[in-house]
Amino acid sequence: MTTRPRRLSNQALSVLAALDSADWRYGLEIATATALKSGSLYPLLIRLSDRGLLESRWLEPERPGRPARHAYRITGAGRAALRQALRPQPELKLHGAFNG
Amino acid sequence: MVRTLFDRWLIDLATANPPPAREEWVRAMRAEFEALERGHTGWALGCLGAALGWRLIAHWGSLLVIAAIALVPLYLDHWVSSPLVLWLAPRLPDQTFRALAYATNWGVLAAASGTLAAIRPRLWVMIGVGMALVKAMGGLVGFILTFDKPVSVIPHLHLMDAQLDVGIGAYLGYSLIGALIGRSLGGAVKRAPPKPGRSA
Repeated sequence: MTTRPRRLSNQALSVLAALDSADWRYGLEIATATALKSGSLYPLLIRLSDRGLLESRWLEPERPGRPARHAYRITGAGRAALRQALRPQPELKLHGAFNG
Repeated sequence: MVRTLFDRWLIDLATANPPPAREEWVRAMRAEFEALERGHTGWALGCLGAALGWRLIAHWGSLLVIAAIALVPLYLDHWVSSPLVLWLAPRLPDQTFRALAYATNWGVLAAASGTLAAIRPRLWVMIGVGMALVKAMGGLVGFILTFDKPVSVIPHLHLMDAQLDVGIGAYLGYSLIGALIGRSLGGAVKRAPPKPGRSA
């Protein structure tokens, strides 16, 4: 029996949307774009990374003497999951019992 | 960039001794902290919350054992030091009796926290906080059950003859001091050089 992946939360979708609009983004940039605090953001990044919806790498600092920073990018699977979640849901039409 | 010593201490606490699976992410949080222009305290507090959650998940087995052992000072205090202090009460001046009662109460807590932290030095903060809360909650729950009071009375209670927040603060302080000493002693024992072997 195949298991369906868990539905993405609004916070997860906001992170994927923030990554969808750019190439590599740092944690601070994602936090600013999504208004998520660090305590919520990093557990979310870990979950999305574990599900293969984003990838990460260390980027060399823009200014010499500064430490390398961890950057994130949405994957193809992440884009597909984002599109799927944002697709308008068809209206349900009830037949039978509630008709007059 | 305004980074206070407190912010630095918070991020150091958050990024110290991470579970192996989270080492890279902890480094990532720290790198962003270093890149911040402002808001260091909020960022570091959030990182600390996330890191504590990861440690809870990684060390839940040890924490269960610690929680079970944490009940020991409650019973040790109730069955040993409290009867001893009560026996001494009519034989001592009031101020001396109070000082002795507080000393045994806090001493047992600090000793228990120190013992556990010596065994698990990396968990010393959680041990210090956990033991203090268990001790405080145990006292409050015991009072409610003994005198059949409603739970709503808790905020109005005094702990160690002080307002509740002050009493809990005192428990936290002594428990963390005990845990810190235990961590240091445990680390010193583990780092002690081996005794030289006997010659043939």
